[in-house]
Amino acid sequence: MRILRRLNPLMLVVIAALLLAACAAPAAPAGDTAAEAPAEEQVTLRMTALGGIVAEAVTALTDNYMEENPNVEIIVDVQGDDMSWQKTAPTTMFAASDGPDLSWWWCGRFAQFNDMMDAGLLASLDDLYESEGWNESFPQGTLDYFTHTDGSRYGVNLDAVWTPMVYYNKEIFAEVGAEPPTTWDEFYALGDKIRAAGYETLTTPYEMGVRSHLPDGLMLRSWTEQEYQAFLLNWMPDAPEWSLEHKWTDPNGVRIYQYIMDMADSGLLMEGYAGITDYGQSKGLFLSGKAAMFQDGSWSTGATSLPEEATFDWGYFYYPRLDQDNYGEMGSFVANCLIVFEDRDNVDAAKDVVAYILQPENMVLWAEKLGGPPGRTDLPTEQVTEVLGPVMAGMLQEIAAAGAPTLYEGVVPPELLASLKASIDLMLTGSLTPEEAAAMQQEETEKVRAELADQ
Amino acid sequence: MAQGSSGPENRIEGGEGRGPGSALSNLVPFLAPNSGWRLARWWDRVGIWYLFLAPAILLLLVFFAYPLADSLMLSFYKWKGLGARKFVGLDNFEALLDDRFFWGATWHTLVFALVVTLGTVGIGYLLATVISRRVYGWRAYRIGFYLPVMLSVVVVAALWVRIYEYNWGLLNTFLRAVGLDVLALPWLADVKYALAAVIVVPIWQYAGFPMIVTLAAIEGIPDDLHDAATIDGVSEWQRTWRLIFPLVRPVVASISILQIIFSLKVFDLVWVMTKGSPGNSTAVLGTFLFRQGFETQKYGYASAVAVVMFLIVFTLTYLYQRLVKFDAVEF
Repeated sequence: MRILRRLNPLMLVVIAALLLAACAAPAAPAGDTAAEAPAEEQVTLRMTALGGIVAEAVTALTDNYMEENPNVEIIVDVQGDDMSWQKTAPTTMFAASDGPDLSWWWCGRFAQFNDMMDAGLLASLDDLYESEGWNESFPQGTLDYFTHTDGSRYGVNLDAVWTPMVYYNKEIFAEVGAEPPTTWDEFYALGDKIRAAGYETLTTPYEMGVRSHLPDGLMLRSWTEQEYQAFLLNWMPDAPEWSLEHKWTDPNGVRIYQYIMDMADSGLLMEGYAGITDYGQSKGLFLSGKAAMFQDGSWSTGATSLPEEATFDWGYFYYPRLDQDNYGEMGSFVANCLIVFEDRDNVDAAKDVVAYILQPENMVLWAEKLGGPPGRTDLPTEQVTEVLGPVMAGMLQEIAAAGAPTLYEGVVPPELLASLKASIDLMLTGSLTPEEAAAMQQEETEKVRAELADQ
Repeated sequence: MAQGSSGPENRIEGGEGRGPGSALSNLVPFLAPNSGWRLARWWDRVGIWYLFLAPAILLLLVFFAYPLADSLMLSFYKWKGLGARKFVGLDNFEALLDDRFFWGATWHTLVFALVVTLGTVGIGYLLATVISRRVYGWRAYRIGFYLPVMLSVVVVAALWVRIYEYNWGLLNTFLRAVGLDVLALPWLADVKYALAAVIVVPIWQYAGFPMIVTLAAIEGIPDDLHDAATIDGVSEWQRTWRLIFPLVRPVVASISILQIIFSLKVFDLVWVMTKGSPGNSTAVLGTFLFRQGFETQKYGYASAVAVVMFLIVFTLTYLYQRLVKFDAVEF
């Protein structure tokens, strides 16, 4: 302590500064910049991907890429929890200066894809769309979906999924003498018949199934194409005049709520359906043979889902038509995509990986790994059909015939989706009538439009 | 009865009562003349204690004070997490006052905190008393009742979701098996029962914590007090409430405060069990905040919720501390 006593505070500061300087990394020599680096310079890329089959597919393709490009190392950061990652990554790891170079992502408003484009976080992929011929590889709807307000595209679609559809246990249906329904009256009658035989009727997770996918499916069945398109647009400040004429409070808007209410009241939804918040629990009731029907999307038809998990004979059907001039039977979700981040050291190298993954033969591999159809429509049909299996192949043909409109939930801002869920929730618990629930959604639509106009 | 604190001779130099004008110069001695020598002396005598405090203070500043201040600032802005913030003054708070979902969540949070605190502390106290009387199997009870505390909340919540499942859950299956079909209810699917069903879970899980702490306090009660009570012919009921409870009351009060604070901040349990459904009947401030911030990306609005949440927790804790005496008991 005597030595310490003799030290002047200023000396302490100087010593600390010298120590810090000594510990610092040596400065890079002048002129040693990336621009002057040799072409085969070792590059390390960090890519984030959703866990499970997505990560398996990403890893398989990036491994192949690294084999062909030994100077590139791709570290795949697998993200375990899709929901928390989806909700926090744009404002945390993606916005950070040391974030990933590229990522698999849900390119929808609900996952802040638009916010990231507006904030300049993403690199434009326009050059790849041009050089790789993607403008001719994707349906126009997908190309439009990925075109930002500035005219550029900042993401590229990987695969497409459809929802909602009802999977059913053929053995239970045979036991009770039932067939997939073609009308709603048949559907309601089916509920009683199944219940009388000691099985539960239709299971689906309340949050995702009842409050999100179900209304979307009913919208497609209730509305004409123009009506449906109007609701995809009428929340925007610059919405075309014709779209503003269509409101949730119109009879067709109220009808969505009324049908959901009727499904609950008639017992078509299983007892205690509002208590099922867990996807696995909901699917488990179907897979264990306790529930006869399970509402989900096309992802359940994939190679790693029902085909492997179900120990009984199963099939699927769409909800019965409400009328003949409706837009479609199911909606298409094309938001699964790849994105490259701007302001990183290796933007071009990351783009090269994206181009590689999107190559036709790799998209076939992608489809095989995921058990779902790729977003590109210019792939050899035989190859895709072969890797997807007979059920999905049949589904693909139905989709091609019926068309696959963009989902409301994939396009509207999160506030509207939250309001839709809340209004259905309040209606099903008796706090609102279908008319009041529709009015609530209309009010939120107008509020969102006003707020966006104010920004 | 109250124990005095340690005398001034044990305090760190530079505290209260060090003479006129001494506080600042003692805390920052290098501002005074002969600063080098004074700094060394200050370091030798008290500086080391501040060094020990430094990591904790640094962590508090970085992970508590700064986020709190930033959250307060953010509550006056409209922000989606990316891009520029837009100053909106008190608009977020004004909107909050008109938001029925916020008021619903606030009410549920208060009910949750009150009932969970009463349940855990009350049951914990009773269990501790029983165990302290060395009933048959008391060792097993002590371990058994504490075991749920060691489980992850998420695991417990997922487990109870399955117990409460209407058709095939353990609870309803049992009720039907014993002929109580009428009591087999959609526990988590009906607005009438959902909140109560959720509240049962933390009471079941956490009653063991107050039990252990209270038990330690009860074990500290000298035997001669018990002997005197026995000689006076008290019943076990009188012993529980007239002898034991007054002597462990400060401990019970402290535990209650902790339980209230934990309960007011509840999120994970509710999120896993119901996500605030059905009909927002189980929504609490934590789930409301999460939905506003991370589902609808209204970060300014969510910050306003956080500020209000902080004020509620702070006010209740402050009031509780002011109203409840914590004097230590001296035997």
